[in-house]
Amino acid sequence: MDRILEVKGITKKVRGRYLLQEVTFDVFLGEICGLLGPNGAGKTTLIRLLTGLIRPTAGSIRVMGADVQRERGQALRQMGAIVENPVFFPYMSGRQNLINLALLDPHLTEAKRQSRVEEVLEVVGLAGRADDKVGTYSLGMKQRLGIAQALLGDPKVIILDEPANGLDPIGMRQLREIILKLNQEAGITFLISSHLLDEIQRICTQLVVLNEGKVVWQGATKELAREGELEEAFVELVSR
Amino acid sequence: MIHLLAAEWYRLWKRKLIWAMVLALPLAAFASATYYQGANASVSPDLPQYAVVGNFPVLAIAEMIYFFDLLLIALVATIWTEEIRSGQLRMVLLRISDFHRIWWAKIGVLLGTVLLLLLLYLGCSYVAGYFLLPHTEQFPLFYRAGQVGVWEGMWYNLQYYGIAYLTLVSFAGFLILMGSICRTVTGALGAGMSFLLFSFMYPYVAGYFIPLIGEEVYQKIFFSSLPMIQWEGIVHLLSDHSTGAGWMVGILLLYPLLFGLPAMLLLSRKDQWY
Ligand SMILES: Nc1ncnc2c1ncn2[C@@H]1O[C@H](COP(=O)(O)OP(=O)(O)O)[C@@H](O)[C@H]1O
Ligand SMILES: [Mg+2]
Repeated sequence: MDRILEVKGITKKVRGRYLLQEVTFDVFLGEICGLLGPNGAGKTTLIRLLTGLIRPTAGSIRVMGADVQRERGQALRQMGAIVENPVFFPYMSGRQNLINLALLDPHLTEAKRQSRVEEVLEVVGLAGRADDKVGTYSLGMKQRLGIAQALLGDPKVIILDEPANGLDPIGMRQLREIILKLNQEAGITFLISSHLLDEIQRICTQLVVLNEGKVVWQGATKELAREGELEEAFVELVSR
Repeated sequence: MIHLLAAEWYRLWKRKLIWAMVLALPLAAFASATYYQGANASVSPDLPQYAVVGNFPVLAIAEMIYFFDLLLIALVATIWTEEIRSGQLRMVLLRISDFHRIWWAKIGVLLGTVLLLLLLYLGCSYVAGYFLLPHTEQFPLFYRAGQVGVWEGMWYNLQYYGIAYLTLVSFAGFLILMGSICRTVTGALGAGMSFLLFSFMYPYVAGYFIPLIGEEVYQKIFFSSLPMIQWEGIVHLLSDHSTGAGWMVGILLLYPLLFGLPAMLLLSRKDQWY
């Protein structure tokens, strides 16, 4: 099957408190899946677990069949991500930051590294500003550079943590266009977290709704639109 | 692993601090040579304090070593504390399968860079000495009978710098633990400086208690301090009758073990890192 992400019974307990409880869902090839939930719902914690930065208390996560804990290298190769915020090394240029990260990919030769960096800069529209220090970038540019670094390893799935946070309407539209293009033309699957239903509804085909560490609803975005009552309930839930 | 080393190296050498050092070292060497040029007037040429081309590198590092201590504090605060706490390291961690490796890569790059800068300073001090100080075929060394020629003197200098490097490695062991514990760069800088100050102070305090504790214990206390080993210990180690060599070597090993191992253990709690 074309199951890209398989999240099974994920629980994370820190100092006696459950940050996530029995979270289970799948993401399939070609989907743009939204991870919706109010601040503090556990979205970033879940993304840390998905990318293997922290260990789950219970449960398992597979990326294209590879277990993130036991086969981390293999799982990571299929995946690009921004966790929390796109933080780069501010004293280096955008291009230098990408080269630095590309150095960590053993599959890229010297020549391919250079051309791959230029390619991804082109995709996110940053080629013109690539020699400026990242410290001078706007938040929107950092988000796009974040997508560029996620693309470096030619991943099957990209995970973005609240990419629209703090962006102006233009930055938001640029981001949306890049995501849709990568999804439609390169067939890349996305998992995108957000605390705003509006913005996620516009591009996501699937939704997983998280509240206080638990999945409270999941399904196609279309279904959500049909069930008007439910929608109101979510709006209330996530705007609390 | 080689990829990780390459990436860490690439990043460190993009920092202004490192290039500022590269520029500052020749200046410091020339400034020091100029100082000794003047000081020589009041020193007898048959004393080891009399600066000539052959012994100047050792005279030049004597105070400069503390500058290297400070550099080390700054480097650990930036490549450990800042990278971990600001989240800069996250995108690197997303690309490696074993977090221990980044630890070793950072240590390798840190110590490699410090070694390179130390050797650069050695070279600079020879050049500065060549231009500004007397050229003599023979010169005396501290606590050593007789005189040495240029090549024997160079071997002595290399040994001196080698031991100086080991004291820096030892200090790094302590700093790395601080760099991983401290939540802010300021905290890490403060911890490093406090350690250095404390290590300067307690041997002096112990000095008042010599009648009570005896000369032998005092010597041990004195040479349990890293900056004191850097200040006086190295010439003792290289003297004709090297005293307390075992003690000092033990101390140099103790610091990395005492502080480096807990830092390692802290690291294996993976959730600390994100
Ligand atoms: N390392 C941690 N230790 C303890 N609590 C944490 C930790 N990280 C996050 N939390 C808590 O977990 C909850 C979920 O946080 P987070 O995953 O960042 O939510 P979201 O990204 O949905 O806003 C919050 O209440 C937060 O305070
Ligand atoms: Mg978050």
